[in-house]
Amino acid sequence: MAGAWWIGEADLDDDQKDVISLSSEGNHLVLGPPGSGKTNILLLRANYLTLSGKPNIAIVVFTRTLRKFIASGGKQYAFPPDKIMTCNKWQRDLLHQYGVGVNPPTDFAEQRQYMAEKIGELIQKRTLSSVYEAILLDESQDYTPNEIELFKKLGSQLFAVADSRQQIYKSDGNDVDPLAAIRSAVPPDNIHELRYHYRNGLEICKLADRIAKDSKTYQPLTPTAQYKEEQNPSKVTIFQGNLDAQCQQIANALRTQLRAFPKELLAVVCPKREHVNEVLSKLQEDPVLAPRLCKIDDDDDAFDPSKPICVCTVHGAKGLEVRALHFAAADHVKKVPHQRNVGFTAVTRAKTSLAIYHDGDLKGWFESAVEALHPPKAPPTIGALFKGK
Amino acid sequence: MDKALAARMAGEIVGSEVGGWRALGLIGSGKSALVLRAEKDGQAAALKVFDPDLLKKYGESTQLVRIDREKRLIGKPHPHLVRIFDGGKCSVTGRLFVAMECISAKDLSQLLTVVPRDRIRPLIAQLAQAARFLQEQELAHRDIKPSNIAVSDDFQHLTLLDLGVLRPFGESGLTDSEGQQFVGTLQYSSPEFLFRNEKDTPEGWLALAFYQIGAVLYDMLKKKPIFEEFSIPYPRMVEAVKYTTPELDVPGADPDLVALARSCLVKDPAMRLGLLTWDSFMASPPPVSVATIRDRVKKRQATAVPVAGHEEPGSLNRARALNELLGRTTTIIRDECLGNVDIFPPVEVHDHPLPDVDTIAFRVAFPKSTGKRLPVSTALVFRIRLLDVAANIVEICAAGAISGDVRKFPSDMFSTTSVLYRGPFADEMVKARFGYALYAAIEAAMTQEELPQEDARPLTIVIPETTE
Repeated sequence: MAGAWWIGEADLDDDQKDVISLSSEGNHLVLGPPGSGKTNILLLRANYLTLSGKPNIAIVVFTRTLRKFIASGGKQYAFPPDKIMTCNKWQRDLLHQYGVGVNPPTDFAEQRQYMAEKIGELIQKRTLSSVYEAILLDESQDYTPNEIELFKKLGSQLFAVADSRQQIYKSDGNDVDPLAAIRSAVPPDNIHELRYHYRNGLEICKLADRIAKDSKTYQPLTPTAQYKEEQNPSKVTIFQGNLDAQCQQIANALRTQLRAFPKELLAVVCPKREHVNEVLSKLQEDPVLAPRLCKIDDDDDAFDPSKPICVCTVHGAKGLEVRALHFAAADHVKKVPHQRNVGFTAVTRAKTSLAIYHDGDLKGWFESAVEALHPPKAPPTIGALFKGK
Repeated sequence: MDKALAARMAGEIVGSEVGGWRALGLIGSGKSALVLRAEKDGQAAALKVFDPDLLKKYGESTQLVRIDREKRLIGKPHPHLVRIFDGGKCSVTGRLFVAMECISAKDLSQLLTVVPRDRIRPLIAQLAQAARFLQEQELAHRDIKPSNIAVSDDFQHLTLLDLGVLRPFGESGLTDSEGQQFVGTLQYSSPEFLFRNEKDTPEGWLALAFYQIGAVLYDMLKKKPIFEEFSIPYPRMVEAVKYTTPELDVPGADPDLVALARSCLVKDPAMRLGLLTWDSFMASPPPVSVATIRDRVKKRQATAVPVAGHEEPGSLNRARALNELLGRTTTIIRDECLGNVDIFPPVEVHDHPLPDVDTIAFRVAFPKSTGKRLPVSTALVFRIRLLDVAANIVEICAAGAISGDVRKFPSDMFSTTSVLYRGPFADEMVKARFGYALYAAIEAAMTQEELPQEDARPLTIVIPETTE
């Protein structure tokens, strides 16, 4: 798929080069905003370890999106794609390997806790340590301290990338620094910051900054954006209407975008799964769009270039980047945990074009973030006061 | 005077002498006088003879004073000013006359659509030389406009004509009975001159001359007379002169010239004088480095900033204009840096404390980079002051600093400020100047010693004047 985020060596900035050339020993944490090349660095690190004779690695990701990306990337990787696993799959495989049967609860948070406990027991029982030469963790802000502890024990080294603003999964700690657990696993000198980011257009950065401005430690995206507006001017639009009207609007826009951005990924995301299903069935009624829709949760490994339109939840879109994003039923973001972070993650998937759709009022932080999109209104002229009713 | 009167008067004069000049034939007639081909002692001339009836009506003495003023230029030739040979009252016929150089060339008002683009700059320079010469003689022309300018067929030579309303500085009210009568041409008047608010000082007349040269430049750039669309009725023209900022989008025109015209046509005479000197009109090429930068930036597509109208005064309008400027300028800078990633490290654009409500400020910073041979993190603070909302006149200042860490640039580092640009906000011009400052800062920082992480210091950036 064209426009993938893989960058060549010549395109690396100094921060990125510094991180890649790190010594192979010790645990490392790489922090960076969306689009700063964190995942790219993670995969380069995996290449580095494989090529330097340490093929026994696990690349643990939160969702299947990254797996799809990597499978699409083809020959750029020195490691086989099955080294990349979602956390859940990795846990099940490990337990299975040691003959531990599982019967996890269905609730996501409970399930995570259950699996972590099972692995903890396994480690203790079998006195397991350093099963892997390295564990590479994507989105490490989303792991609980317990889970981090397990990774530390099972990998002789840990290489983690994170963005504190993108923590969107419920963890057992409330309102604690989402990076505290992973930070404590890494010596201070091994924490590296990627300062510059390349994905999001300025208009999208500005919106993301307004969404995230509640946090005192938040580093705004706008000042360090390296997006080339001159090539693709960025744009954020708002639409209000019921879900039917939203789908109509989205379908129209997608048909144009398929032509305007050939060979580029496009996406429709919703905060809640029920809306994803509804949007998907509506879009499937459109003969042009139907064959081009891609469900992230499908088990295929690679993105199919003939299906460039991803339809998924915000959570499912983690790690994804698309030329044009439609954030549908966005008012429901207020009903999910970590709502601001979910909003932040959603909007920062878009490179160039972001459209936000809502039915009910956006209210509160989302409304005020979106309101600033409209320039201050001009005072009415005297003439305008007399012009009709 | 009407055609019949002109013909009758010409019939009386041709073949006879006025002031010793033998009239040979009619060239044309104006409001108050005939112009005839004439000759005296082998010297050819254009002979202007005034209508005696009008003189009776408005007073012969006034006209004689005017003729005397023209005669001050006898023996002081200037290559771009019509030469005056003689003048006064004919002792034989009693007619009032002026004998001057006979120029056989079309006037500029007939040539607006055909002046080659590359001749505009040299012709304006010639016009400015003529006006400057008059200014140095302490005389104000007061009626500079295309129909009073002759241009040779090959567009190489310009001559400023019609010195009939010359006015010596500071002689108001002595012998001049103009009173409140308007002298000049409304369409080409500066607002202060139209409303008789001009200052009878060298500066006052200088401001008028700059304006009128700017109007001539406008006509050549746009290939049509300024405010043409407001000609009828008269009060609309008055309003236009007073309030309307002439639109100057000329695709492909030299951005320097467009900016020059904008500066000339600024409504406030004091601001106009602040933006211009006689050197602004001279046809010298800009320094090579700026030309190089400009060439590059010219290739990029530019979006013009719309000029705010006068209809929406007030602070909100100003705030909007400032906001627009902020967006426009930071975009220009980002485009320049991100379009040249082989030269610039990643670019940061941060807010910077604002000195006052008329000014926006921001900091552009680059991290040190071994790959780019930049031993220190480098930053520039740009302060942009909006001097005039309607005409979009800005002053852009820049100050530099270096630091051991791109995260640490104390705002008091940026105290040594130099003026980068002062004039109308025209994309191309401003781009070129920003480009210059950015490259100059990187170049200056490349020769610095590395700094410890906690250290920062000001960086002097030498910014030469452009064409001025």
